[in-house]
This record gives sequence, C-alpha cells and structure tokens, in this order.
Amino acid sequence: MNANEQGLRQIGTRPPRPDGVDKVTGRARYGADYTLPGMVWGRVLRSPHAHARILGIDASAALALPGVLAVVTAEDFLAEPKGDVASGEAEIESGDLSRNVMAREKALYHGHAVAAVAATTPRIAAAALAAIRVDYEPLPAVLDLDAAMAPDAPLLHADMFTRGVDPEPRAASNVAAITTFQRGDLDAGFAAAEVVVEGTWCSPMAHQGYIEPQACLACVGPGGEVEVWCSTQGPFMVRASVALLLGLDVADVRVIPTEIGGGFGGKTTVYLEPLAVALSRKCGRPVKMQLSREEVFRATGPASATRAWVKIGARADGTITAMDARLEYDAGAFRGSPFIPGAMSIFACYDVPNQRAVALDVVTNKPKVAAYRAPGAPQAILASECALNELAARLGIDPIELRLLNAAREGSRTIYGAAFEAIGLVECLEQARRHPHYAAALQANQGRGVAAGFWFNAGLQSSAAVHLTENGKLLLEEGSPDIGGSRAAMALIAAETLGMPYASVKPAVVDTSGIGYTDLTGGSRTTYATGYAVIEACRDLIAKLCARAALEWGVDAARVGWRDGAACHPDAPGTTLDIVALTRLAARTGGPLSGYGSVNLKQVAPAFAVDIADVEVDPETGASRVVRFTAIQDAGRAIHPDFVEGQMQGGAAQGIGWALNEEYRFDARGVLENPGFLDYRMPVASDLPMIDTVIVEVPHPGHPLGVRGVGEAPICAPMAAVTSALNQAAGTSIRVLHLTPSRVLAAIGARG
Amino acid sequence: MSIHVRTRINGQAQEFLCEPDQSALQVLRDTLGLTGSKEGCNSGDCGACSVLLDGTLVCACLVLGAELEGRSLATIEGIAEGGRLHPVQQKLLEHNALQCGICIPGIVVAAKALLDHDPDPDETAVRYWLAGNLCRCTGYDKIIRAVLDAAATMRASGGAP
Amino acid sequence: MFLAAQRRFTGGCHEIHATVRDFRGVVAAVRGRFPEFPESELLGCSVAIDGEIVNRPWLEPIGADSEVIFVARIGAG
Repeated sequence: MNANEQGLRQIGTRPPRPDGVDKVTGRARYGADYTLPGMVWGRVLRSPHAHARILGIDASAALALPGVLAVVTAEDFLAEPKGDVASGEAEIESGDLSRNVMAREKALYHGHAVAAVAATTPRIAAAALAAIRVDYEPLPAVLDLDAAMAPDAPLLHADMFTRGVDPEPRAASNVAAITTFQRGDLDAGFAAAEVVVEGTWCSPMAHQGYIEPQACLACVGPGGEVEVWCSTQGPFMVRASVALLLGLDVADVRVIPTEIGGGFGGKTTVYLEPLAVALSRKCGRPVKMQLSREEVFRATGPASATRAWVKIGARADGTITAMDARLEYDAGAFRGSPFIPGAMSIFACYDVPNQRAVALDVVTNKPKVAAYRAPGAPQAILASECALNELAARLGIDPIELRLLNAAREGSRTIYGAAFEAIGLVECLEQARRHPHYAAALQANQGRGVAAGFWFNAGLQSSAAVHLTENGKLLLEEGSPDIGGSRAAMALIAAETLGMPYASVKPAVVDTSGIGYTDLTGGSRTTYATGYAVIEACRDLIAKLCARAALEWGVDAARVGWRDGAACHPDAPGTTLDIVALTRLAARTGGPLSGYGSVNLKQVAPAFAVDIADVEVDPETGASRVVRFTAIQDAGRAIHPDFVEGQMQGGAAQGIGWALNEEYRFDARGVLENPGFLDYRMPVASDLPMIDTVIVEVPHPGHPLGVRGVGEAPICAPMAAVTSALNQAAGTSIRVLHLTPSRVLAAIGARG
Repeated sequence: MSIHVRTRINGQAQEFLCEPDQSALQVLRDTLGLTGSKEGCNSGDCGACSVLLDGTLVCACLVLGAELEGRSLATIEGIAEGGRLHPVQQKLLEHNALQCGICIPGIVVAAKALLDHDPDPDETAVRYWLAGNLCRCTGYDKIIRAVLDAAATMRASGGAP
Repeated sequence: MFLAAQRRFTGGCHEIHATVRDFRGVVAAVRGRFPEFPESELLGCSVAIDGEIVNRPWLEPIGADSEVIFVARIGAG
C-alpha cells in the first residue's frame, strides 16, 4: 500500500531539506570548521614500520621546542579499559580500541599512531613530531591472508588464540576466529545436484572514501569537563570511547556532532577524539586535530580484502539443492573483520534447505578494518551472485528466473536460524524482469549482469524530543547525525504524525547532553529507529495536547480525539482546538508543551535489492565503463523518496568503484602505495551514467509506517552485477577484483 | 618570514599575513575564517576547495596564499548575491541532489564557472567539467540533473544568473 | 539452539529444552545446565525468538513452544 492509500499526506513527498541552504552556500560547519579562542593544533606521529616492537619513546627534544605544549603516548591511555563500546550492534574490544588509537607494545601497521603532540601552530607541531625519538625493533610483517595463515607466520598478537575452535588451540595464531553457519545436509544436497558451479572470488581492501577527513576540536576545562566537537556517525559512541579509554565519567563528557562529510561506516569508531582530549587535558588548551588525506588512507579503517570460495549445486530445472561457502576476511591489525555478517548474508536471498558458510577473521599488518556500508556482505555476495550467474548460463535459464525460482519469501528460514517476515525480494526481481533496461539491446562489446543483494538493517536505541514554541511551531530534537538527509525525513514524520505543515517543523541534531542516548547513524537504522522515536515523541505530545483541550472544554481527556492537527471535541463535532490555539492556552492549562520518545527497536527491518548493470569493454585496452545501471530496492515505505534514491545511487557508485577502479596497493614493506585520490581512483562524474532507481514498497510489519532501512543494501549487489556484465562483454571469467584494464586484457588474451 | 598580501575576495578588499608555503586554502580557512571551501585531499584531486581566481576555476590548495596578491578570488561564500541563491544552488536544493554536502561548495563554484562560459552544455560536457569534483554520496546523478536544469533556467531567463 | 562458537561451553551440545517465561529464564536455564558457560557469552549475542531477531533480549516473553536461536551481533556501516 503506498503512502496515498494509507492516507499519508506528507510522507512520500519531496520537500527541500531544512539544512539545504546552509550546505549550498558553504555556511554549514563540518568537523574542521570549528575554532575556539586559545586553540592549538594536534598532530600524530606514526610508525614507519608495518610491524615493530616499541622499545621506548623519548619526547624530551620535542617538549623543549618553543610552542610545543604537550605530548601523549600510550601511557596517557588505559591499557585495559573496562567495558566495551557499542558500535552498531557489534562491540569493539576495548583493549584493541585503545591500542589502535595509540600503539602500546607494538606498532602493527605502517601509519599506526605512536604519539601525538599539541603545539601553537601546525608548523611547530610538525617539527615536534620530527623531534620525537622512538626506538623500534622491526619485525617481519604479514601482508596477506596466505602469509598470515602460513604455519610459521610471524604473529601479531602472542595472546591471540583462534576462537570458535573446539578444543581451544594452545598455539597462538593470526586467525582470530572461525565461525560456521549451517542448515540441512550439504552432502545430500550436492548429491542431488545435476550441475555444480564452484569458484573463488577475491575482492581487494578498499576505503569508504568519504571526502571529509576525520576532524575534531576538544576542550577539557579546569574542572575536568570535556567538550568535543567532531564529525562522527555516533556522538554517543565517541562519548563512550573517550570516557572508556581515558578513565572518565561519561556524564562529564559532552560530544557535539558537527555536520559530517560522509561516513559510510568509517566514522563509527574513533581515531582522533581520544588523542585530542588527552592533549587538551594535558596542556589546558582547546586542541584541534584533523587527518590529512594520506593519513585517512593509511591509518583509518578500510574494508576487508576477502577471498570467497563458493560452491552451488542445482537440478536441471534450476532448483538449487546446496550452497556452500568459505570466506576469509583480512581484518587488518586487530580482530574484528565483518566475517560473521558476511557468512550470514551470503545466501540470505535464497530459500535453500542445505546451506553452509564458514568464515575466518584473519589479522595482518595493515590498518584495522572498519565497517563499510553493509560490512562483509558485498565481498561475500560478489561470489555467490557471480556463481549464480554462471549457474544460470550453464543451465540455460534466465538469471532473474533462476533467482525467482529460489527466492527467499515471507517465512523462509535463513542460515542463521531466523525466519523472514514480509520481505520484498520477489517484488524487486519482478520489477527487474519487466524493467525496460532488461529488454534493451546491447551493443558490441557490451554485456549485462544481474545480481541480488541483502542487508539485515538494525533497530537499536534512539531518543527524540519535541517542543512547541509560543507560536505553535515544533522544535524537534534528535541525536542522529545527518549523513543522507535524515533530518528532513524526521521532520516529515513529525509533520505527518501531528498533522501540521512540514515547514513548521524545525529539526535539529543536538549534542549528547541535549537528548537521550541514541545509537549511531549507521546500520540503516536512522529513519527506522530514530523515526520511530519521533513518532513516539509526537504521540506523547498529542496525548498532552488532548489533555489540555479536555481541561479547556471540561471533558474527559480519554474522549478527545486528534485529527488533522487539532483536538476534536467529543460532543460537539466541528469544535476543535488546533496546535496554535493550544499553544496559546499552554501556560494556563499546565505549562510548556513537550513530548518525549525513547525506543529500543529489537526487530530488524531487512532490505533486498536487485541491480542490472551494462558494461562495455574496449577489447584493445581492457578498459571498461558502465553504460547503464538500474538499482531496484525494497524500502518498505520511502519517507522522502529523493533521499532513498540518493542512497541507492550512492551505494551503486561505491560498488561500481570497488569492482572497476579501487584497490589498496601495498609494497613489500607494507607501505600503502596509493594513499591519495589520484591513485586510489574513486568514480568521478565522467565515469558513470545516470543511475536509474525503482523503489519497491513492501511495508515492514514492525514499524507504524512500514519503514525499512535503506542505506546499506545498495552496495551489496553492484560488484557482482558489474563483474558478471564485464565478463559477458569480454567473454572472460575473471574472478579477481578490481577489474584493471591489464587484468581484463590478459584474460581476453588467455581466452583464445 | 610573513608575507603581507593585499587582494580582493568576493568583491571585498582583503589583506592578510601568510607564510611563504601556506596555500590559499589554508589562508581562507585558518586566517580569514572562510571555511566554506573544504579540504578533502590538499593535493588538487577532489575539488572540494574549488574557487575562481580571476574568473578561472582552480583548487585553492594548489594556489599559494602569496599568489593572491593583486588578484581577485571568488569563493562559495560569494556565489549567492545578497541572499539570492544562484540557480545552481537553487536547483541542487530542488533536486535534493546533496546528501552529506561536503562536496557541494566545490561543485557550486565549478558548475557556476561552467555555465559562465557555456550556457548550453550537454550531459557529457557537464560530467567531464565536474570530473574534478569528487562526490562519494550521490553517484552524481541528481547533481548532473540539477546543473542541467540550472542551465535551462538561466537560458530561459535570458542568461541572468 | 547454540551458535557454533558457544558449543565449547556446552560440550558440543547443539540445543537444549527448558521451561522458561522470558530470556532471563533462558540465561538461568543455560547456566544451570552448563555452569562453565559465561554470562557474557549469552548476553553478547542477539537471539531469534520464533524467527524474530531481538538485539538485547531480557524481558521478552518466551512461550512454552517457543524456539530461541542465538544469533551473532552484526556491525553496521
């Protein structure tokens, strides 16, 4: 049922966003745009070795330089912080977080932070870094999965014993964990198969590529009160991290989220904030820190390089009888790649009774990976969807038909045990099948690829508050940084729920002292969960408004209804009191009018997507480009369709880039060779066509408006769609990304 | 040794002191408080610091502060005149073409520069002109549509921005 | 039903049956049967109760015929 059928008047429309004018005029302030009087500059000293023991740090020469106010090292942070920090649904191990933010016993990747300084100018800060003497004992480094897993591999952590192995191993390893998900009987499933496709797909380490480097401004007052302005996806996560690593009380820390210039998961953890707070505490001045682009690439959290083996068996009629996978994820320097969600998501689109996914979390001497939009899924789904396309070709069945035949539906069980409620995969596949793109003719050297994607999406905790001004306008406060237009969606939801004009609602993302706890913006949860909190806050306000009207009319509050933005007299139809009138009566009926909402959404709101990609290959150079792309996704209910489309288009571009252009390239010493936008080549405007979108709406039963998360599912299918399309265009079967021209050319040559 | 620079920024006379190796971007942001131009890479690859130097589109991170002597600079802060948005700004809002918005100041300046000299670009011309402005959020689709729409609007109103 | 990673605390046992009223009861039943099972390993997971994923279960009612499956927590991007 679309918005109009449900009687929704504002949801589903496309009004301009409230923060738009500031953003198109340069007035909006991001993390690096804040200053305070007396501010000084912080910089980070980084390890020149990919793997080394840190024997000692002597900062005396640096501290002696005029203008250098403080130096911090691991000694300024807790070695074993107590507790964990919620980041999305997973929790980061706090000892690892502390050591990633500031190296302690060892430097574990080239660029790992080993010290930080605060100085009166950036130039003096740089001179201070050069004056710090660090005594390293270089160690051999492991730079890929095979090297890390080799029998006599140098170990990153002497206390790392592979989790998930029973009995627990006695020897330490670089394999942090193994997990297995399984249902049914694989042997029987493959025995029943008439065709089997098997292969190994590799995707490279890639970066989220947010255009705004991390930046923050920290100020610790003489009484110990801490304020941090920072660009983050999670101000409450920053508050908790800073408190945890520095032994502070969360109640003494206030985090003010600035506008954020992209995150995509890369800003769901901290790098600079604890350093800036530690420096400010030491020198008594506000400390500003920002990462250079090179530091962003070398020392924040890219996405895992992955090796994915997949085997799929089917009967001749296309019924899939068994699906098997082994996934190896490169976690970087500490445990915690998204190996588990990768294993859980890889076959989620298909209702097949016999499925198994084994996944490994492997550490290497590279930066610790962080979430990147549906973490773990794109790399896994690349393999399963490419394998399915090969299967379709072998069986002579249309790739969309093959997927429809086996698609997960309401009631289908997943490999991890949960069953789906109402979902929209079948609807997305049917939209793809009848889309004009699918029937369009291909030109020479062009190929077409189809792929399906899935992401769980999160619920979690959010808070919202609404307050009526004296003139009947609504101030809406929430704690979810706006990375894609969410505050416009919140205003639409509030306007719809209350029955007041969108233009009369003023949404604001406020700091951690101004709103109740809110989990971070990510996990495709913001419109879903924070939106839900907004609905609750508005309903709370409506109850209060009805109670005030009841007082004014002398009737029982329970009999007063609310319709079209006004309280309705139960006995006198046509007698109403609207929001403006009730606000004027506020003081004499009880006082200020506010509403509060607080939710912990336990349910997830899964999203499915289907992409169609046309790729053209130049057989002489191996160069390729996407000539047409269509993204179809079930959004449940699109609150603001422009922003839903924007998420779909942005995720598609990232997936396309990961397949065709992007890759971290390390040299033999573990030094990143392409830490800049010139050589880490993200798609530019001239690389891409228009990206057509189709929003499917199968309402999510667990949300009053049917909202599903939309932000992450878009990145899951494009890599497979593009890879399949390119292979069709070139007549190749390349399984190693990214698809460089030389790789394509070599494959064309080998094909004969 | 500080250099004393006299220049014009967004039509107003400005003077400042800068170091020989300070970029115009650093001067704008850290000395003059004009933080609308953003630092995305500091190497001229992302376009987030796009400005117009004597009417020519450049990356402020690739220009030295000292080079501004005697010249005129237009930044994002000066594009809207007297509170009136430029059609490019207006259309970006109407199309809801921005998500995080960090690339938008650079895109506004770059798109204005395009339409200043080519009032009727086709989609390919817009894409290649904006190839120097990285956006990670949008996939460029709505941005390109907004710029084409702004060009059409400006042509319809006789070219007045 | 237990996750693969949890089975080291159950001696390889995949699943148990118990009569409980809510998830608090599940924790008590599991630890009663397997005293070595750390509470953190139970509280650090999400669960699927009759197919519906719940992130921080505690008071969720669990019926006589309900099925409770432990599910790993997932990070978000």
